[in-house]
Amino acid sequence: MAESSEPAILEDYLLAEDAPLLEEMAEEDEEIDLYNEMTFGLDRDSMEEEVAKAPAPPDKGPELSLVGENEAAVVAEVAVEEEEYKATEQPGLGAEEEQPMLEEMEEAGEEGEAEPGARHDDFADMEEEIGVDEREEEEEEEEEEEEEEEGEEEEQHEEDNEEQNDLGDPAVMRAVHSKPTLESLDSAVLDSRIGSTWGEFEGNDLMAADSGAWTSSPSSILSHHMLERGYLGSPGLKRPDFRMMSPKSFPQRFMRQQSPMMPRSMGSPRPYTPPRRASPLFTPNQSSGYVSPTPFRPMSRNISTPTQPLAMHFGPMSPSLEPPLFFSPPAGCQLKFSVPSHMTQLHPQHQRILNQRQQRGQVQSISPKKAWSPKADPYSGLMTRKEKDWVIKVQMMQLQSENPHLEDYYYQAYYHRLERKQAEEELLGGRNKQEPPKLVTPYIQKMEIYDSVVRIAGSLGQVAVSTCYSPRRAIDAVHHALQEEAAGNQRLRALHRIEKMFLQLLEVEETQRKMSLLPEEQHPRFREKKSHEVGRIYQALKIRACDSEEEAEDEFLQVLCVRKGKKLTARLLPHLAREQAEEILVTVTRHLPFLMRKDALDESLPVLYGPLSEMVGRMTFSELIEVLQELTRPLAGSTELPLTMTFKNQFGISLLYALLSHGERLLSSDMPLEPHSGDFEKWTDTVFLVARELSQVPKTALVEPLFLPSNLLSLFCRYLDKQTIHRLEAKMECSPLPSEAAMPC
Amino acid sequence: RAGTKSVPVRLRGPGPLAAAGLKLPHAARAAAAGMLFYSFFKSLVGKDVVVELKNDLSICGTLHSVDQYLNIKLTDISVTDPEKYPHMLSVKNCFIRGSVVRYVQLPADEVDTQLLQDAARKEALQQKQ
Repeated sequence: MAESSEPAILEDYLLAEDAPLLEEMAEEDEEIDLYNEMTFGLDRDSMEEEVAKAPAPPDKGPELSLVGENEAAVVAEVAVEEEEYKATEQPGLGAEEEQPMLEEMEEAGEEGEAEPGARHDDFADMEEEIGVDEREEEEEEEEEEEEEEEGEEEEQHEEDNEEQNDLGDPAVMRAVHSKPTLESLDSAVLDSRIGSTWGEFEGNDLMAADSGAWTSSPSSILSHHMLERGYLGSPGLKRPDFRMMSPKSFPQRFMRQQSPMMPRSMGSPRPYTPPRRASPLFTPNQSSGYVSPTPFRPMSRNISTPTQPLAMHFGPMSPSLEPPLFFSPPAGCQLKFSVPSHMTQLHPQHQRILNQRQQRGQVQSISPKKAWSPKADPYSGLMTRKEKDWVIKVQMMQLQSENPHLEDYYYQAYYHRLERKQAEEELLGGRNKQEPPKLVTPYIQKMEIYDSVVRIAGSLGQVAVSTCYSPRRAIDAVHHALQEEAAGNQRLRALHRIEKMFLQLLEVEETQRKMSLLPEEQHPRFREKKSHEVGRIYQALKIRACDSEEEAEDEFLQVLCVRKGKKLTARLLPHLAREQAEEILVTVTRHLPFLMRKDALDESLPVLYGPLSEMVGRMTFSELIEVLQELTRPLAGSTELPLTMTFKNQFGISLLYALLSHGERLLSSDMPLEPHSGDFEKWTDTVFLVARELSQVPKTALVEPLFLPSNLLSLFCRYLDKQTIHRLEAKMECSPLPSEAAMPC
Repeated sequence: RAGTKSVPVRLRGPGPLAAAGLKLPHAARAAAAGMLFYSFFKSLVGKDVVVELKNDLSICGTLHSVDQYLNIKLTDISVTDPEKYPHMLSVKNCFIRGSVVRYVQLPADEVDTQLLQDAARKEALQQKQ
C-alpha cells in the first residue's frame, strides 16, 4: 500500500526511531514533547475519539488480504501503522492519527509502567464499552505489520503451524478465545507482546466481526507470527501471560521453530524496502536522521527478513532497534524480555539505553561460542583511518625520548638478549630464525633544551626565563644526599652503600656495553674509564683484613651479609682486576664460617659461587694453597676447622671442591707449577685432612654441592688407599672411576 | 593459547616524528621518564597473563598491546570465574583501562628480575637528576 500522506508524516516521525541511536538523540526533544503530551495531556476523550475511529477502517480489511490472515481484518482496524519495518504497505493503518501518536508516545515514553498499566486497565474497561482496546489495536498494528512482512513466510510456515497444532498445546486453541485478562494487559507482562497480541484478537469486537474469517488454526498462525516476531529461542523470557499458551510450552515451541524458521526466512528474502524512510516528506530536521538508515538498507536486504519480525515485534521500540536488529540474527530475541513492550512508555533516554543493551545483547547472543559474528558492527567506522592515526600520533608524541636505551631500558635490554639467544640457537640448532616482534617506540634524535635560569653577569639574583618547554624554576632546590650513616642501623647503612655501588656498577656495565659497540681504537679509553670506575667501587667496598672478632663490624662483610650485597659482588667480580678479585676470594674464604652463619636464612651465597669458581680456575698453585690455608686454620677459640663447617653448607662445600679440583687439575697438568717452598706439603696435608674429615662426617650431614668436580676421586687416589677411596666415593656420591687398574693406589 | 607473533609488530603508528620537528613540551617530556612498566609490559606482549581488576574480575588472555598509561588489550580472553560473569562468555577481545587494574599475573620465566631491578635503579637515578 502506498503510504498515505498523513500516515507518512507520522511515519516519518516514527521512522525517526529507526535512525541509529545517534540520530535518536536528535529526535529526543521532540519525542519528549510528544511523550509528555501523551503522558499528561491525553485523556479519555481523546481515547474515545481514537476508539471511535477504530471501526472506521475496517473497510481496509480487504487490503490486508495479502497478509492472508484473518488478522488482516483485525489489523485493518488498526489505524496507526506501527511503521517501522513495514515491508509491506500497511493498509489503512495510518487512518488514525491519534493512535500513532499514542504509539509514538509509547515509543518515546518513559518508564511509566504504572501509567501504561493504568491505561491498559482503562482500556480494558473501555473495551467492554467501546469494544476496542486501543493498545490492542496498536499492538495489532504492529502485529499486522509484522504479519504483513511475514506474509510470504506465513504461507511457508503454515505447515509449521500445522505441526504446531499437532504437537498441540491445547492451551493454544483455547487461549485464543479467552478474554483478555487484566494480567495480559499489564505492561510488564506485555513485554513479550505475545500476550497483548493474543489479547487483541480476542477482546476486540472488531476482531469478532471478522472472526468468521478466522482460519481453522488462527492460534497457530498467530503463534507462528509470534515466532516470526522473534520470540525464538527465548526460554528465559518471562511470559507469564501467554494466555493462549502456557508459558513453558511457548518458548519450547519457539525453540523448536527457531532453526527451521530462520533458514526459511532467509530463503524468501523480501527485499527490504523502507520507502518511507526515503520519503520526501521527511521533515528537515529529521532528514539527517534518515540519511544513516539508508546505508543499512543494502545490508538489510539480505538479513532483513528474519529480523523484520523482530523489529515488528518491538513495536514502539522497533524503530530504534531496527538497525541493530538488521545486524543481528533473530537469535538475539532472547533478550526481548528485557525490553518492555510498546505498552510501556519509556523516556527516550531510557529507550536508548535499552536499545543499546539490546544491541549488545544481541551481538553477544549471536556468538555464545565466541565465534565472532560477521555481521556489521553499528559502531564500526566511527573514526577514519586518518583520525585513528592522528590520535595514535598524539599518544606517541608523549613517548618520544632522546635516549630510548635509557628510558626504555628494560625492553631494549630484554630484546637484545632475546636476539642474542636466538642467534645462538640459530647457530646451534640451525632453526629458522623466528623474529620476535619488536615494538618500536619512536625516538627523536635531539631535543632542544631551554635553560630556564639565565644568569646575567653583575645582576642581583637570577633572571628566570620560562618557556613552555621548560617552565620557570621557582627555587633552586638541590637535592642533597641525606647522611644516613647516622641512621644507626647497620643493615640500613649497608643497604644504602650497596645501592650507591650498584649505580656505579650499572655505569660500569653501561661503559662496557658502549665499548663493545664502538670500534677498536676507542676501546682503551673506555677501558680506562671502566677500570677507574671499578676501582672506585672496590674502594667503596672497603675490603680489609680483619680479625674474627671484628667481623660483625667489617663493612665489606656487612655488605656480604646482605643478599643484595652478594649479588653486587658477584656481578662486580668479572670486572675486577685479578688482584682485587683474589682479595675478595681470600676474604670470603677467611670469613667463610661467619658468612655461612649469616646466610643460614637467606641461602643466597650460591650466587657467589659462579664468579668465585671462575676466579679459582685462574689461580696459581701458590695462591690456591694460600686460600686453602684459610680453610684449614682452626677457628679461634675452638678446634673446629672451617673445613668441617663447609660440609654443612652448600656454598662452602662447593667452594671446597672447586679449590681441590683446581689443584688436582694443576697437578695433573704438565704446566710448571712454580710452587713456593712447602706448598706441596701443605697441599698433601690439606688433601689428607679433607679426606679424613669427609670420612668421619656422616653421610646425612653432607650437603650436596652445587657442582661436583669429576677429578676429585683421582685426586684422592693419589694419596689414599683404595678402601678409603671407596668410602669417600660412596659418601660423595661420585661417579666411579673408569678403571681401577689405572689408579696408582 | 596464542603464542608470540611471528611478524614484527609495530606497537604504534606513525613514522619517525623527528622529521616533523615536533618539540615536546616539558610536561610531556617528563612523562617519558616513567616508562619502566610500559617498557616491561612491552616485553610481555604475546604472553599469557591474568589481569585482575579492581572490581574483582579476573581476565585471562594473551597480551596484545600496552600503552604508556598501561592500558591493556587482551585477545582470546576467558574469565577465570565464568559463572560469576556470564556476560563475558562471548567476549573475545577486550581493552582494559590501566587505572582499573589491580594485579597482572605474569609468567615467571618471562621476567628477568635482575634486568627489572637495573631498570628501576636507572629510572630512580634519572628521576633524581
